[in-house]
Amino acid sequence: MAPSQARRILLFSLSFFFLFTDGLRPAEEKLLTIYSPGKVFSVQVTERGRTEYVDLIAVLDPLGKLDVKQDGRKWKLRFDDNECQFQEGKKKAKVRGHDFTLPQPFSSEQGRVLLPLPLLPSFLQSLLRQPLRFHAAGRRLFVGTAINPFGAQFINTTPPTLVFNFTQAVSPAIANEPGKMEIVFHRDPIVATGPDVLTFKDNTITSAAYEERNGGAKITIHATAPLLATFSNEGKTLTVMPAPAVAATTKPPAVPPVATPAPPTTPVLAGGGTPAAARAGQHRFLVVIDPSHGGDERGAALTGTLAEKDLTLALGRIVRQELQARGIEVLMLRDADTTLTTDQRAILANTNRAALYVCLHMGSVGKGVRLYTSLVPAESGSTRGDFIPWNTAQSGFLNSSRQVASSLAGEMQARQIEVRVLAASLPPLNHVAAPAIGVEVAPRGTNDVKDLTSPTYQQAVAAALAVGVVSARNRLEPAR
Amino acid sequence: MIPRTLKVAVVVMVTAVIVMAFYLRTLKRRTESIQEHPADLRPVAAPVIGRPERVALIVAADDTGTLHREDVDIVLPAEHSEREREILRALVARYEQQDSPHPLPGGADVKDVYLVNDTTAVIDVNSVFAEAHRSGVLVEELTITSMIQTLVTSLPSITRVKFLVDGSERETLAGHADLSGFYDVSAVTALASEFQAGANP
Repeated sequence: MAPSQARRILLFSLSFFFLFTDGLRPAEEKLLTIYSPGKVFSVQVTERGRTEYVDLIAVLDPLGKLDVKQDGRKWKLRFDDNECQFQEGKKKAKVRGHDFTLPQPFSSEQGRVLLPLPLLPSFLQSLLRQPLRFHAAGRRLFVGTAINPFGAQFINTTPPTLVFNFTQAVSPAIANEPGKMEIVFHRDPIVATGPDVLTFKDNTITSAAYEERNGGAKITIHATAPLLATFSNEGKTLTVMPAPAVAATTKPPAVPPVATPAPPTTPVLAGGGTPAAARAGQHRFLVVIDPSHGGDERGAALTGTLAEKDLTLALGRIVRQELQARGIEVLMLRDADTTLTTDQRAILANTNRAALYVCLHMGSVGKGVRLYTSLVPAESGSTRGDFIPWNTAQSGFLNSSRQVASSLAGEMQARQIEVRVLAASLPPLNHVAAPAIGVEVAPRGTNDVKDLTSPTYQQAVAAALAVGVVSARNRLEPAR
Repeated sequence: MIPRTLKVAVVVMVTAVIVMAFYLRTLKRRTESIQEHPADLRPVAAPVIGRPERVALIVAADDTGTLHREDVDIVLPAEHSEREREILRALVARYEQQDSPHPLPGGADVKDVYLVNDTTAVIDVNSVFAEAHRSGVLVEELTITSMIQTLVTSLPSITRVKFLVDGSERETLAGHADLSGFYDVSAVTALASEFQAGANP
C-alpha cells in the first residue's frame, strides 16, 4: 500500500471516529422556561421536523386550574373558566369561543397536547389575557409582571468595579474559570436593559456579555485576574471586582489541600480557579469573620422581632472595624442578609487560607460570652499529611484553636465579661483547616435579650475579641 | 300589624342565631387550641409490668449551663433498645415538666433507640423534638450532651452515637448542634466534664 493511500485511510478512519463519537454524546434537552408571578418552571421542548413543540398541558397546569377532557379526536382544555378546543387532524381550534388557526393540523402524542412553540405566546395571550413577553432565542416566556430588568455600571476606579443592579433580588450560580466568571440565572427572570456585550478600557475587567440560552440567562465577565463577587442591597446588587491581594506573590502556599464537597453554587468569594490567598503570600494574616445565619436562615428568634442573623451581622461589622483598626486583614463572609450554607462558609475560609476563622452567634440562654472550639478529636500533629479529610479538617488545628480561645477568654475576663471556653459540635468548625473559634454572646447578667442590642456591650465584646486576636497572632504565626 | 306569634318567632330565631354563633366561635377556638398543642400520644407509662429500677439521668440546667445527675425509679422493659428508649423518654419527660431546668417543647419524644452493635447507638427523635427545640449553641449542646451521657451511663459500651429526626438525617438540631455525623462519646464525655465543672475555666 502506498504511503499516501495509507494516510488517506487513516484520516478517513479518524474523521469517521470523531463523527461517530460526537454522535454518541447525549443531546442537550431543549427547555422553555416560563416566568410567572410567584412561579418559575421549565417544560420540555420537542422537535418535529424543523418545528419546536411544547405540551400545552405541561405549560398550563402550573399556571392555574386545568381540566383536560378527551373525547375521541376532540380535546377540551378548561383553564380557569376559559375553554379551548382542538381536534386531531384539524388546523382550526377554538380559544374562548374564538377561532384560532394552527399552521399545521393539530396532533397529540401520548397524552400530550402539542402546540408549535412560536404560536404559544399568541395562544396564551388570548387565553390568559395578561401581557406576555417571549424571548424566542433563549426560549424564555415572561407572564405579566414577572420580569426583573437589570443594568450594569462599570466604575473605573482602583480597583475597577462592575456593578449589576437588579430590580428584584436574584440568586444565581456563580462559577469561576481562569480568565472569566460566569453568573448563571436559572430561576430569575432577568432581562438586560442595555447592550448585550460591554467592553471596558481596563486591564483587569475587560468585558461582560449577557446571553440567553435554553431557558436560562448568563452573564460572563472576562478578566485577567481572579474576581470577587459580593451581594448587597438585599440581593438586588451584585458587585464584581478583583479579589484582594491579587497583585501579591503568585507562589502558592505549602498548606495541604482540604478535601471539600462540591463548591458553593452561590459563592460570595471568587478566586478565578486559584484561591485569592494562594496567590498572596504565605505569611498573610487573614481573619475570617463569619456572622452566622443570614438570608432564609434566621437563627435563634431572640424575641418576636429580633433575629439572631441581624445581631451577628451587626457584631461582625464592629469586630471587623476593631480588627482593621489594629492592622489585621479581615474577610467578612457576609455583609448583607444573604444565605450561605455552613459548607460554603468553610470552603470560603479554607480557599482564602484563613489564619483564623471566627463565627459569631447570639444566644438568650445563660449569660456572658461562650467561646467554642470544635468537638472533633485532636490529632497528634505528626499524622497530618497532604490530604485533609473534610469531616476532620479541624483536628490538626485544634490546639491552636484552643490557644486562641484561651487568649480571647483572657481579654474578656480583663473587661469583666463573664466567659466560658467549651467544645461544641458547631458547624462548620470541623471543616475549617485553620484555627477556628465559635463565639456565642448571651446577655450580661440578666436574661434580658435586649442587652444583646446594647452598643456598649457589643463594642466591649468586639474590642475584647480584636485584642485577643492580636495577642494570639504572635503565637499563631510561628506555627503557620 | 305584625302578628305577635311572628314577632316571638323572629326573636327566638335571632336568639338562636346568636347562641349558635357563640357556640361556633367556642368550637373554633377549641379546634385551634388542639392544633397548636397536639395531643401527647406517648404512653403515660412504660408498657411493662415489673419492679421499678433506679436509673441515672444526666440533666442539663440552662441557668448555670451545667449538667447534673438525677436518679429516678422507672419500670424498664427487658429488651436492650426498648430499655434505653424508656430511659431517654424519662429524661425528655423530666425536661417537659413545669419546673424543668432545661425546657423542651411539649410533644417532644424519643421514637426509638437502635443499638446497631455493642458500640454504636442511633437515637431517633420525633419532629417536634427538633422543630420546636430552642435555638442556640449552648442550649442545643446541653440537650445533645445530656442525652448521650444519659445513654452511656446506662450502657457504657457505647462509643458512637448518631441522631435521627423522624427516621431521617438532619443537618442540625435547631441551627447549631451538628446532627449530620456520629458523636464520639469520649469527646462528648470530655465536654460533659467541662459542663459539670461549671462556670469559668
